[in-house]
Amino acid sequence: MMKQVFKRTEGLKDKEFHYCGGCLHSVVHRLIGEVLEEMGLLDCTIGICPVGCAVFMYDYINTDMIEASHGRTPAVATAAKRCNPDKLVFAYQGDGDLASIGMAEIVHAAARGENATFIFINNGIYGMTGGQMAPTTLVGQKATTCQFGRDPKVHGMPMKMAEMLSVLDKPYYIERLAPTSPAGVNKTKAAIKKAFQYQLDGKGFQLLEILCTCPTQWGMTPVQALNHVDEVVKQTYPLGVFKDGGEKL
Amino acid sequence: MYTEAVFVGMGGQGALLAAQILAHAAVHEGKNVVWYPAYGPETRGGTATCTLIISDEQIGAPIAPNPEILVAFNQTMLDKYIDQVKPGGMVITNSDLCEPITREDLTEYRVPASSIALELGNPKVLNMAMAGALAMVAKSVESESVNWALENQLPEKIKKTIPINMQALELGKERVQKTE
Amino acid sequence: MSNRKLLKGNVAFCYGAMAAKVDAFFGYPITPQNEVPEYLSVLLPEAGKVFVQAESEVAAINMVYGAAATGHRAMTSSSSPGVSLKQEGLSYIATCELPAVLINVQRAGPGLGGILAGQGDYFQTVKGGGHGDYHLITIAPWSVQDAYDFVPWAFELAEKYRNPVCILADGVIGQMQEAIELHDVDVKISEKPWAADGKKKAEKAIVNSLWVEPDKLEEVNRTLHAKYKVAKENEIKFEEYSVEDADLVLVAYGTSARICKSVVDLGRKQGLKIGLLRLITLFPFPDKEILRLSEAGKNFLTVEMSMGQMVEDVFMSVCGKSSVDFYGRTGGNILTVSEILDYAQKVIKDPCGPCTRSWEI
Repeated sequence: MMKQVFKRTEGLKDKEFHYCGGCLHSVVHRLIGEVLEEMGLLDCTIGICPVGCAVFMYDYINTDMIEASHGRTPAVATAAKRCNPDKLVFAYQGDGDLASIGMAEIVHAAARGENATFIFINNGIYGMTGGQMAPTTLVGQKATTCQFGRDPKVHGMPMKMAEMLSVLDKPYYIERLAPTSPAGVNKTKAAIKKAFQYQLDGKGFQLLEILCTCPTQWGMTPVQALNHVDEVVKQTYPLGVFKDGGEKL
Repeated sequence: MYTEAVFVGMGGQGALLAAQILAHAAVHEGKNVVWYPAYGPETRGGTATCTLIISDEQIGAPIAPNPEILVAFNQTMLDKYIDQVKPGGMVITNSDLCEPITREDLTEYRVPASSIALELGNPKVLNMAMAGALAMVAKSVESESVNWALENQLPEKIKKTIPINMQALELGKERVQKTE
Repeated sequence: MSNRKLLKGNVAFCYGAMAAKVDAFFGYPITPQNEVPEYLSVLLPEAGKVFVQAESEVAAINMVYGAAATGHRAMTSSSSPGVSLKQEGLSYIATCELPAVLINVQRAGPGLGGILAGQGDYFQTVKGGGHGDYHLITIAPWSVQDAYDFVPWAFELAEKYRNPVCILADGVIGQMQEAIELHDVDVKISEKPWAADGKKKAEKAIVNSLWVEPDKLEEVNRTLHAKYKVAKENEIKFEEYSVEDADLVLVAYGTSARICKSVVDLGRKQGLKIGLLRLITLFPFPDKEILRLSEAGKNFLTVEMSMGQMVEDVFMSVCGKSSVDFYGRTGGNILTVSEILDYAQKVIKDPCGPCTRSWEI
């Protein structure tokens, strides 16, 4: 009998991801699943899924899941947590969901200091609908609705959500991460764990902005996409802790 | 017994509260009541109007666009509403602030509500003098019930005015006079 | 006598919500329903329950969705333009088969409209309102007593059918005060094994309205409609008033029905054979009852504070067997007894005739 050295986390259901090769949604899903399992939270968690590429997340994460309408994930999470204060509630949103159609909901959830964990996937593009411009699309980046690249004169500038939400008084923990390397993956996992622990300790609103890749819509190979995040995307969206009530910054 | 009255006054004259106290009194007597305030644009310019319906039977229409009785606290509102009173209906006016009416098909009752209030040393209780006049004329509620309503339904912060409100009510009943 | 209380309709909704043991309310200010969030912002936290003033109507209905999805009794209230904003959320709630209650204190529309009473949201409420094939079970109060009683009833229906229920009121019901009995309500809260409540169970719960397989989604539609059929068989409620020997039956709901009751009383005094069919459930709609009355030779006059909405359902119900006339006022103008009576007299003499849509331009 061979020794088992790796096993799929119990935090994920036995279902193949639908994500494209090189997309980091699957990495973040796995990290969430692993943290939930390691913290023993699989039977006391309510997850809220977005509309966007992660719309099928309820098929993957092995907890109770609610599928929200586009952008309303923070509203659903607000109610889920207020009505079930003893449960862990996490919400998962892409950049269209959180920073465009659902901007009001995330800002107000943050302003109220809702004690839930908001995981924000920023890949600068609308993946599922076919590569349209997102509020987070970089200056010069091409998309199907800005075919010559994002022009600040026409399309304005990218939304920096972690920075924006950090000026509010109530958020407890806001960090921007990029799981583009083994170290980045480990850091992201540690941040998810820290956010969940803060929630269990009743600290209040936590948001992790996670820079992710979209090789399909960026027109890159998975490796090129990872490098692109490290070399280009991080210049607009610098990594770091923007708010942490539990640490001196 | 069926009383259908519209109270009209300016903000601060207490028209709404007067009607509401009568409504509480009627509820206390086991009667059916509708109290319906004008809200929104109708109240712009500081006017205050409401409908009061008191009945032994189940009340149908909860509003009275052409009321049987108009209770007018001042001339401006009397002028604005007098044409709406049902032909053959009744008008109760604050005689200190209203000229005698000219519509000949209506019965007019006048009560010096402002004078009563000043005499009692609190200009605010003119509304209960008006309420007393209506209670007297329409015989829709007993004085005891109105006193009960004053004791039990006035907002906490003006509870100390209960006795003077009761006096205003009685003086309104006493001094209301039909114009012959 | 002394257990009767003079209360405003909007406040009665709040006591009704407390009697119904509501767990959570989410809402956004809009006239003429503002007393509802104002009172519940005190009553619910006092009882250890949840109240959130949401950032918008859209957020509010999605909070209702979230609370209902975790198995809690959740409700919202609003008025016409605000209810328009909630339609997407209601479609999700209906499709996920979640019980929830919406109070619509209708105001005059369309657009920003006015803040006085109207009944122009009939179509939006009973025909679905949001996208897709769903319906709200819709009940129409006509008194402050109903405002209190209908909230527990709405939750009972919502849980029985796992479907959102709309209490379709209007500005008059919301703003008027009447004497009501705050009687005890026997509240039976249903088991919710489907709830995504984060509790340990054999299989994880998923609350979802996304079905990419056409056959599966069609099955969802069929399930919803099978439910509506059962509701139609069991839940229809109306009141007949002097209908028995009437030649002309007024059909109305809510404030209009109250006014029509006075029309019937006055008309009868004048020797007119008129009656009133006051509809209480608007969805399911009592089409069989209306057909039965039309087969008995009665003509109808539908009375609404709209340009003619419910009249379409009355018209369809009679199957061409009798005449359906219409009288309506809009803009916040409240119907008067005398104008309806005048119109009724005209209709008695000269009905529009079967298969004629009298209300259309």
